[in-house]
Parts: sequence; C-alpha cells; structure tokens
Amino acid sequence: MEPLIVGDPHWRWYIVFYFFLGGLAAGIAFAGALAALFGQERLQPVVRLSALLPFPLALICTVILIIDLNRPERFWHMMLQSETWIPMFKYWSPMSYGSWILLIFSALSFLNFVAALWGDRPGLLDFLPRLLTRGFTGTLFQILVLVFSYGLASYTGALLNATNQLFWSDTPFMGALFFTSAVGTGISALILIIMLRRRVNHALLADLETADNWAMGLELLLLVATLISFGALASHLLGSIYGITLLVGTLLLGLIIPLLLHFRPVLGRSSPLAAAGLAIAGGFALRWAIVMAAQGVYVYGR
Amino acid sequence: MGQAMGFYTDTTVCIGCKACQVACHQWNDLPAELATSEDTRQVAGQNPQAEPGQAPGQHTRPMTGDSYDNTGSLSAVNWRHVKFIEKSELTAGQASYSQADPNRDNLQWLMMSDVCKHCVNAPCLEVCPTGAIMRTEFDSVYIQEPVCNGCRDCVTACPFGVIHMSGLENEGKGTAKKCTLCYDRLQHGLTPACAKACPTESIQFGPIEDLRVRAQKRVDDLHAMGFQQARLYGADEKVLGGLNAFYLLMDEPEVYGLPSAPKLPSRAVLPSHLWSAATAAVMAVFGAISFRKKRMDRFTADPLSREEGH
Repeated sequence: MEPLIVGDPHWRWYIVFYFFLGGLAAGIAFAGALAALFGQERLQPVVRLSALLPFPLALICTVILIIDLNRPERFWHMMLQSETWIPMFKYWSPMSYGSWILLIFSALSFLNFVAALWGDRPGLLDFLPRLLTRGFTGTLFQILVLVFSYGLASYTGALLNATNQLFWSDTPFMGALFFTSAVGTGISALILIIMLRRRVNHALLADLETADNWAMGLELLLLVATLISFGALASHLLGSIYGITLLVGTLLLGLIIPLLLHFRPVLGRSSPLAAAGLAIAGGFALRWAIVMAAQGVYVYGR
Repeated sequence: MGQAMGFYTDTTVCIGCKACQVACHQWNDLPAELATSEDTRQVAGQNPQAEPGQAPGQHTRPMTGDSYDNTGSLSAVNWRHVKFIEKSELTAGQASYSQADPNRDNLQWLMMSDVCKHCVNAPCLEVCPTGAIMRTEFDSVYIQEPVCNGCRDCVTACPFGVIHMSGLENEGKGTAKKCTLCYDRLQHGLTPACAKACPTESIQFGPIEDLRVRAQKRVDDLHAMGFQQARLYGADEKVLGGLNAFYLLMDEPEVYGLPSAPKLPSRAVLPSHLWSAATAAVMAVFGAISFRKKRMDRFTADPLSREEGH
C-alpha cells in the first residue's frame, strides 16, 4: 500500500511560538477583562497587568508570523487584495479571519496599554483611561476584549482543524483545547508575576488560583476528550515523542501537578510559583507536540 | 465559467514511461530536482557522481529504492509524478512480503500518473487567505504566483499532497506550486502537455462530462472482461464535489495513496468554534464566579495587613 502523502507545511518553531505567545496574550487579556467586568477591588493589579502585557506579546506574535511567511514583504495580502486593495476576508478560512482577529486584538491591546501607561495624569490622553475603564464605554470595551481574546485563543485550534493533516483534522476539540490552555497559561503568568513582587495579596492569589483551577480542569478534560476522539490514531500519537510530551509535559507536569499544588501546597510558599511555572511550560509543550505531531508521524493507508 | 475541462487517467494502460513528467517539465520550464546530501545518504552504498555540466555537489536524484521511481513524489518542480506500486498479497502465517514472495515474481505492478485533481470543491482554494488560488474559466484551480505570500495553509489543506513551496532560489521563490492544467496552453486551444505526450492515452483530456461517459464505458468493459475490481475515483461528487482530474483504479484508493474520504476544511470550522465557544462560556462563568467570590477566609477581613514579603 502506498503511504498517503499529505504535504508538509513546514509549520515549525515560529508557529509553535506564535501559538504559545498568542495564547498567552489572549489568556491574560481574557482573565483581565473578566476581572475588570466582575472582579472585586482587590483584582485591580490583575486588571493593570492584563492591560500592559498583551500588546507587547501581540506585537511579537505579528513579527513572528510575518517572518514565518516565505514572502514576508507580501504579508499585507492577508488583509488587502493586492490587485484591487479591497479588504481580503474569508469567514470560512481560519487563517483569513484569524489575521483580522489578531489585528483587532492588537488594536484593543494597544489602547489598553496606552491607557494603563497614561494612568491618572492630566493632559492630552486623560480621556482614554476614563473611556476604557468606566461607565458604559468601559463595559463595552472589556466585552470587546473578552470576545477578541476568545477569538485569538481559539482560532489557532480551528486553523489546525480546518486542514487534512493527521491529528489536526481528526478531532473537533482543538479550538476548545487551545482556548483553555491559553486561559490557564495566561492566569499562571499573572500568578507568576504577582508572586515575584515583594508583597503578595493572598486573597488575590486565591482568586487567581481558583480561576486557574477551572481553566486547567477544563483543559484536562478536553485533552482526554481529544485523545479519545483520535480513535485508533491515538496509538500512533502516543507511541511517538509528541504523544509522550503530551502525556508527561502537558497532562502530568503541566496540569495534574499544578492542580495538586494548588489544592495541597506541599512546597509551601513556592507552591504557587512552581505550579505557575509548570503550567506555562505545559502550555508550551501542548503547542509543540500538536503542531509537530502532524508533521512528524506517518500513518500508512490512513 | 466556460466548459469544465480536465483529465481522465486510466491507470490500466499506464506503462510508467514518465513521458508525462518529461513533457510537463519541458513545457513549464521546470528544473530537475537535484539530490540533496540527505537523499544521497538515504541510498545506502550509492555515491552518485555529478554528471557533466553539473556543479560539484549537485547530483541527479538516485533511484529512490521504491521500484522504478526516481522522483519520489509530487513537488514544487514535479507537477506530475508516476507512481510505481508493487502490490503483493500476504497469506496467513506470512509475516513479510519477502517471506510471501521471496523471488518477487508474483507482484502486481500498479502504475498511476499523479497530478493536481483540480477539485470542484478545492480545499486549497477554500483556505487560501490571500486569494492567490483562483478558479479559471476551465474550472481548473490555478495559483497566482505574484499574490501568494507563502503562508503554506494550502499545503495543510490539500488531502492529496499536491501543493509544495518552491525553494527560495527558484523562480517564484517561496510561493506555492502545482499543476496549472497548462492554463496557458488551454487559453490557446491546446491540449495540456502531459496528455499530449502520453503514448498509451492513459491520460486523456477533454470536457469533464465527455470524459465521465468514456470512463464509465471503460469500467463496464473491464467488468465484462472479469476485472470486477475496476472503479472510478473522483468521477462523481462523493470526493470533494468531484475531481476534474479523476482516475480509473484497479484497487482501493488507499492502495494508490489516495484518501477515500478527504475532508473539506471549511466543514471543520463551525464544530470547532461551537466547542470552543461553549468552553469559553463555561470558563467565563466560572472565572467570573472565582473573581466575584467574597472570601471568608482569614485574608478577607484585612488582606493588606497580612501581606508578606519574600
């Protein structure tokens, strides 16, 4: 029997880093928007951090994506039709609408970033923090951040689903899995930064850990559901370095141990730090394993 | 759109001469794919020497070790590829083909000239985010090189492994490459080079409707001769709405490296987003509850007083 040869797209390290950093930016923004919309006063440090971090991350993501193109000088063809300059948009193509999601997310993050930097100072931009954080416009802005951070975190999974590649196209759960991983790693990053400060508000930390537990619990369920949905193909994945990375790097070290550390902080004050570090590494392992598996495992006669 | 044109490839009369490959290279001015050092290493015991006129270190490809195949697969410079499939049946108790047929004298040799299928519902065209991939007036699928930015999404979408990216040193560097159905020849009323060169008429070109009638008659004839395994692949709408380059096969599609049920990428988008949106809704609710909760533990009374340094 001939091997079924599906082309190798050469989506390698740039794409892995984009999926990870994009997820991190989206996860932080998602958590920040939730904190701004529903959080108690003590969550203000989270709101501020989530206003400052996503924009630089989104900027890095944009650069990575452009560099990854074989013809980077034509990156704008994603947004505008090169002959007519009419906007290029396909709602049925995740890469097409994903480009727009990244653009709009970056614009929202930029506004949030500028507003957070400007703060309470009087002057030219003093209206911006008011506009983005208070009243109806503030609520509307945070809802937009919530929607577009969901979009950025999940479209990358839909992008993999909408292919004919091994594993990527064999489950409907990639978007949901990437979304929960994004939120989990995003909240873990917030915990990590808050823990590295000299003073720690433990009630704030407990709030973040509770939300992180939900994200990691959902991710754990979705990872198991994804492996089950692969059916007979799961054995091909689990027998490879990518499957082992998923089981050890993501499932065990990135999800189960951080959850255990949240419930039983056996490492004392280092427990939240260790849990956050492991969860972030597990999120990276997930992206690496899934992106590379389709390009590194061959199944005859699939 | 004008009349849909395409290929009907009758694999039963393919003799593996590779005239189609040569004609394709010649008309489209495609360079030979030179061996890489990896290729050279893969062929144990062979050390291909450069041929006259070639730069040192550049070798023509050695035999792949896969029957009479020396181009391996479709690629950025091989828009046609003749497959040589050596088929042998294993019987009970035989662990390997060498055990089943040690002298290799009972092999069935299936040959097939592979090419872009110019699908009616083309996955590559569907996902292309720049609009570089378009449908022509002949219902063929064509890549506009000046528009392509080399994102490689089309490569992930094609279920047949047809599209490849050209090397950065080649013409149209870094862009997606595949068979054009000789669009330039068609515009001047000419037959595509491969079909013109095929000496056995294994590759036939014409209006799709005519080709389907011709192919069905051939299948009926083969069935009447006792070859019940003869079948058409891609002649009806079951495979991606129909293939404008369809095949007459003598075995299951998988034997030829063809997928029985390739997927249309867009059909995965809605289920993927339904699952992720439902998950996001659940996460938003639990996240909001986590952040809204009034903590009654010892920190809630006066959290700042219990801050501690590291």
